[in-house]
Amino acid sequence: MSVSFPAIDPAAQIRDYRANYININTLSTTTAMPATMSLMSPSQQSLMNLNLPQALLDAMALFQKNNPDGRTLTAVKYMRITNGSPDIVVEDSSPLPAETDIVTFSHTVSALSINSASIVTHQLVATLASVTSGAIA
Amino acid sequence: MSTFTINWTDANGVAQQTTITQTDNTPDPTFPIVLLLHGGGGDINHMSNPTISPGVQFDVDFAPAAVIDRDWHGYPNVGIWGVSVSPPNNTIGLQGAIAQFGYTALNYAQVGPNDTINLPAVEIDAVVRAVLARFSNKRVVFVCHSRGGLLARYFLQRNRNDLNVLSRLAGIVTLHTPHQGSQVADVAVNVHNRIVQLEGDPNNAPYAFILNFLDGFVNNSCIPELEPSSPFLTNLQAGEAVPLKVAIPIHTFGGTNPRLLSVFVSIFDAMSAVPQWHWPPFHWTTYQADLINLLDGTPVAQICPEETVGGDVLVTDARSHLNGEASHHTHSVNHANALNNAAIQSDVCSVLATMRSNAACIGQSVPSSMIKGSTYWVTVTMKNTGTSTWISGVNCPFRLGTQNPQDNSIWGMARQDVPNPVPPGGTVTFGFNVTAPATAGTYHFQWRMLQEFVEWFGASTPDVQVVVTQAGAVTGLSISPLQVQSGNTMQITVTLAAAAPVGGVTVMLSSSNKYVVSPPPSMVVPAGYTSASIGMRPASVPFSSGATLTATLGTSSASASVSVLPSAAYPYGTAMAVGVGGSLI
Repeated sequence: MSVSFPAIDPAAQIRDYRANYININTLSTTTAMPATMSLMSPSQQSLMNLNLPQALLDAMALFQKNNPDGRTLTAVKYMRITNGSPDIVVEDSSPLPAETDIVTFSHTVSALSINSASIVTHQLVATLASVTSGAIA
Repeated sequence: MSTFTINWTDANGVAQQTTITQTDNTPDPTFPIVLLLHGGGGDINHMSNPTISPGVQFDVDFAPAAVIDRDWHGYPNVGIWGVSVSPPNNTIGLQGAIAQFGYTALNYAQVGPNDTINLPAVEIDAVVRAVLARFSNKRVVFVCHSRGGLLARYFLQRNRNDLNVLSRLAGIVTLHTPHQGSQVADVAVNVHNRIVQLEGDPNNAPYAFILNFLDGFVNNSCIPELEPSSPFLTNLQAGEAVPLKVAIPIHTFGGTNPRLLSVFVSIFDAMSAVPQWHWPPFHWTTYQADLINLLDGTPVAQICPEETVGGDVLVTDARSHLNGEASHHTHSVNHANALNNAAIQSDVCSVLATMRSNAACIGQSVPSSMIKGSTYWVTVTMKNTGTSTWISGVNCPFRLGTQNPQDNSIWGMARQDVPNPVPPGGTVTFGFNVTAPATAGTYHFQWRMLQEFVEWFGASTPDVQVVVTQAGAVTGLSISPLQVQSGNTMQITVTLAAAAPVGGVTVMLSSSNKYVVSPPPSMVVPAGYTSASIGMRPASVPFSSGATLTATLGTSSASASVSVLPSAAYPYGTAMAVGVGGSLI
């Protein structure tokens, strides 16, 4: 038996990502959010001051370095998912960046023992478009 | 499903009993009985419930979707989602499927399924006779799988002189039968022979158990008979070189798919590990990374190369052909799946529908009028447009029977035997005397073919409404031309009210002036005709003369007059020397 993985089509994935997008800030106005979830807007919680994993920051720096058009990467949304449920969401009601501007980053760390499980995923949405604040790269 | 038992005695004189299962459906009364014959090593489930036995019943044509959405989850995921195999076939076995098409299907477990064919051959002799007796108004079709087809052919040869049996067989369908042997059987025999050699070596004593275990797969008495050059097949083919006295259509099916099972591996798309801005954030998607087709022309092909060019694991499609077969059908199906493949089942029933006696009338000769109580010769010519040979002299002979109403004896009989065997495509003319009814009136003359005690078949002959009269009567006498010159000919035609019966009808003729026209004293209207003519010349006359002719039959008569003119070629005096009244020509 041989296992082969199909090539990833990034454009298709970005379009799929945007199509599946749900604005949690807006959702919270109509739907009760988990009590353990902290929802803040970027004006309340600066995306530049987030305690992001170094691996995620390295990935962003590498992308910025290799970005051929030289545009600056700016974080616009952040979500931390702990054990399958978002517990920190930094987002306002603004939509996702355009498909030619959006860049997403994520990093998952797990710690599993006989007594405990911790699976934490950090997800950050950035844009290559010009913005007035929020740049962390 | 109901059952009935058949008692029979095997070749060793031992009493045996066979239980037959019978479907309880409401069959089409015009359909034959289907007798199912499983293959070598098989059992009753092969033809009724193959998911139990042989059990290798997977939908090998099943192909899962290339991409499957596994929905949204809270966690990333990568790697293999799971491994699955071909789903089981959910179709029913042949017995149930054939019943659904309107047939009564009989099934039984053959005695000695792993033995040589002689044992089940004695059994089927008894089974068929019992079935024919039980369903005395039915014909029987064999539907056979694998070696069951050889058993059916062997049955034909063993019973080739029993036309009472053969005339009740409508046909045979064989599914993946090694009519020309199987290379797999060759391999099995060779493996067995090699194991015997190995067992004979004292050094292999420690391996006796495993050798015996392996030998169990290849050391069956039935296997050597299936080798392409086996004495059994050779003798069978030699016997078949002499055609049977009746046609038994054999339709064959073969398979070209050696795949028994497929294994599917479902693997996560890489994006299943990438969160999206969604709640839950991970969208799991899997796709089919690979599949493994067991026995897909690889292991089998290494030992049976011919399986690579269209085989079903055990029999190639080419070897499932039979010389003289009525039709052949190929499906991409393995040997086991032939037992429950829905397409094959439908195809089989389409073939069964062709196994019919059928007839077409291509000629019928009967007078449209008759004299009561008289005898007439009639003919009916029929073409055999079905698949059975019409024969007589058997328990259920093929005959021409009266119609309108059915089985009537208006014409003195209700049946006519076929005078000689009529194969499919042949024609036969029934020529026979009928006796007109004793009472005047109009009667239907119409016939149809039948197999006595079994069925009427084909279309009826055209309905001829015969007018039966009280007695023969002359209804007309005509002379043409009405004015004739001496020396020229004229034609006298007499017409009867009804056709002349066998022997013809004699009509008396007379003339009012024999010196002008002197007809013979009588003329005969031949059997079956309503009119007859004679030609004659009038006498030479010196001046225009006339005569009236009269035809008389019993109390009936008809007259006509003719004028005779003098002839320039025969002057007065000379003509009289020719003879009084002219002459017949």
